[in-house]
Amino acid sequence: MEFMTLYAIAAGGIFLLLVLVRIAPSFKPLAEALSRWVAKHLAYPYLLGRHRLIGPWTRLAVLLSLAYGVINIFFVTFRASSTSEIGRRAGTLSLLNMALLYPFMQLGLFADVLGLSFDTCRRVHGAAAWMTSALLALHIVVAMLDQQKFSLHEQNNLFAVIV
Amino acid sequence: MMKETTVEVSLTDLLQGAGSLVALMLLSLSLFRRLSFELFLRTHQALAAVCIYMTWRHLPSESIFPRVYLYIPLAILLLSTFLHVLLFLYRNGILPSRTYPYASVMCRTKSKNTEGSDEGPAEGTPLKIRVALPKPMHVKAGQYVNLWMPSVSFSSWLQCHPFMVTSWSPGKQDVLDLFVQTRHGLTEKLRARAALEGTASFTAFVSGPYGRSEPVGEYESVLAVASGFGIAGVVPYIKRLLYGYNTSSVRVRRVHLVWQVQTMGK
Repeated sequence: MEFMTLYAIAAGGIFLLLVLVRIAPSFKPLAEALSRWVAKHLAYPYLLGRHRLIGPWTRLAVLLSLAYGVINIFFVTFRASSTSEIGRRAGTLSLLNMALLYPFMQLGLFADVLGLSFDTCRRVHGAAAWMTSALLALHIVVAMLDQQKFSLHEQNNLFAVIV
Repeated sequence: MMKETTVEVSLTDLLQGAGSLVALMLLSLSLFRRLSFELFLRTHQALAAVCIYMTWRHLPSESIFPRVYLYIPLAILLLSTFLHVLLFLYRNGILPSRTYPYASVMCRTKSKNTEGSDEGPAEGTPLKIRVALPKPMHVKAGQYVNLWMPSVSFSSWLQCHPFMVTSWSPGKQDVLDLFVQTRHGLTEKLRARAALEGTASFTAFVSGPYGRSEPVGEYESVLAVASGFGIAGVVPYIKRLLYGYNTSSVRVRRVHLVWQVQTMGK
């Protein structure tokens, strides 16, 4: 990218922002109708009721969890040339998911910053933790399979099993 | 690349790293959370720290790139913790030194307890806590505060509990009213201390307020449903609506409150 492009992007961005601010109010009824529809059909109805160990899951929660899983599977497998490539990607993705876990240390504060409820935040934290573990398990399994090919004393192989 | 001698070292690392993660996941199960939440929380945080250290060691150090994924969340965490602590010190009058906030716990004494049938003697006794703040705080309806009361008992300096704020005012509040249900841990100790004379005072540090406040003023009809101590979450909204109705600043015309209680006497 050429250096001067930055200037063009900044100037264009300012004009675009002004236009967006101008037309935003006319989208308000649409946004309200959409949020009502989401609340009525996705956020409030339960797919799975409250049970001893699992639930309650709303339709929206299940949909979002599925989407989260699918996106992760996509990033691990998309045009992967070999098993070791899948393993490597799973490791990086696991690290990225783990990075999501740490800002949740102050759950109450973080929930307010994001404008979510405390419970939603706790569930997001849980989902990210499960995803991290699953990807890590994949990473370890692939690394173990690869160990047969590479020398045992190499750093990557050894530490791959460690974490 | 590594030397041969590190093989043994990394084997112990292997056990620690993998072990910390497995422990982290296993201990997060609700069974352990319910057993002792404080213990769970501290273990969880400690294991998370071990985990991040092990991950940091495992990542290749030749380029900064994969490790950046660790540095960024850690930086966010450190920064937010730092700001949080600063805010906490300021709110509680520690940094520009003032009087510490204190909480008065009020409870009905045993002799005054006219109710004969005492099926759940301690658990479920209502407590009223009034927190006098060194700095006025604006608390919206439906928000809660975390209370840290280090001097209540031996282990209470490790505990920090969320309580619903039942008082509401259009501006900032000097005194927060909390309505508390006695449970097993800290609240039981508070009840025991307060039950002797009907009231007891402790130093109590406040962090917050946290939580979302629903925009109830935008509706004409409001239906509030609460059971038992859940009323604590509804009361500030009712206060807010009544104030808004009297000052004609909310749309509300009808408020229905459904409150289910086990026994009226409590």
